[in-house]
Amino acid sequence: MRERWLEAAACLVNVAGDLPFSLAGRTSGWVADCLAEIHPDRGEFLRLTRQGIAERLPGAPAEQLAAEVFRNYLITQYVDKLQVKKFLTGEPFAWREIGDSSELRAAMPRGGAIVCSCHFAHYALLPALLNGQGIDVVFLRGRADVLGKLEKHKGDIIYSSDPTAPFRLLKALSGGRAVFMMIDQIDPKGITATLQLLGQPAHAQLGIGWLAERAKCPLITMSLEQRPDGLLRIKPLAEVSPAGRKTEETLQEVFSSLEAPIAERPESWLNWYIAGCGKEGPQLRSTLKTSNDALWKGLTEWEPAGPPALRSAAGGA
Amino acid sequence: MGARRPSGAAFGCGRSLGMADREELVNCVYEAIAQTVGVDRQTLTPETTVVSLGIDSLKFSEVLMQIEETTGLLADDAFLDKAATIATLGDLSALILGLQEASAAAPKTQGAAL
Repeated sequence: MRERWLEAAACLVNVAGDLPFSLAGRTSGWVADCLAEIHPDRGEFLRLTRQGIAERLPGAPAEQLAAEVFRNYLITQYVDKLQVKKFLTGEPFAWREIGDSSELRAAMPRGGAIVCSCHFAHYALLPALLNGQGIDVVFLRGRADVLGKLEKHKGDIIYSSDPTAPFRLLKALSGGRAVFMMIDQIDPKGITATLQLLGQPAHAQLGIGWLAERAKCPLITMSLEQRPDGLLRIKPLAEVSPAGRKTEETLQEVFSSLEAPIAERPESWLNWYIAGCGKEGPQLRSTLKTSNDALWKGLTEWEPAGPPALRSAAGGA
Repeated sequence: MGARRPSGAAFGCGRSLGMADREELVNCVYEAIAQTVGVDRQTLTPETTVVSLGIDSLKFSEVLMQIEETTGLLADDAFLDKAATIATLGDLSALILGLQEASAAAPKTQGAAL
């Protein structure tokens, strides 16, 4: 049965990767439904997400929201990444549709800036969408994973798993470029703090604040939401200056700026499993990475299991 | 830092180095590490590992910034690709020496492409 779901997901991933956003939305949902059936960490993800929602948004329908968060998580991990890869490899990038960007342009300062947000639905598309609006941003990717090492974009993509990543980021920022990164993406040992998010303690990595201080540049927080008409909208939230205060204070202002959009669209925010589950968060993230790698391998290596004659004909085409 | 040079000085000017200059460049590297990490320079050897000094990615970036400032050499992507895989201080020194030599072969380059 697992093979059937994998087969369906592999077919749908390929289809969704070629459709405009307005059409791909439903197909992406089908991908998520297929993968949800076979994702080994579904139960734990849902449990911890429900826990996070109950702690931070009491009264919200935790069961339903957690299911939607997981669905968005799967779409973001398995469909959006293909779109980012298409963008980076110069293929037609169908999901460039975006609402009015004048507010976005006005929010970008001159010179270096760290554009940052937390894990939300479609977050992987955000730097590509910014580039699509003519805003030059360096991508900070967690690791090479499905995107691979794209030589064409050397200098435009920095991998946070690279020990020289902070230095490369500082170079980019001091050269006047903007960098897009998640608030927890620079994760050095021992530079952490407990901040407040939606009235509850939240574990925070302070690496991004360290970077802003060293580069003497502001942090621009943004959210990304899908509007009812299907278009994606990037919304600037706040410009946070690190000057003259402690790193913890800077990061608290970043966290605070994210509270309103989380409360408004909780199903879109994928970080419940990190922020809401305390000590279990890092372990689950690590497990999810392993599971996702295995599922991606299954998806990319899947081949049509038709009659041998058909398969050889397809292979020779 | 001991024999500290002014910013943008000396090693990045595209000239070939004699033995004494090479030793001074290596000393600059070790001084930068000692100052950034907060250890006695005399305890550092070519065999000292980056891990044993507790140098994480943020510390490493501070080390590289310090080296740039005191040597006048500029780290570029090609250098950083190699620097990402070093294990010991000897590795780092060799990398910087080798690339300083490369910069000497390209004297018209602004600064030195590490």
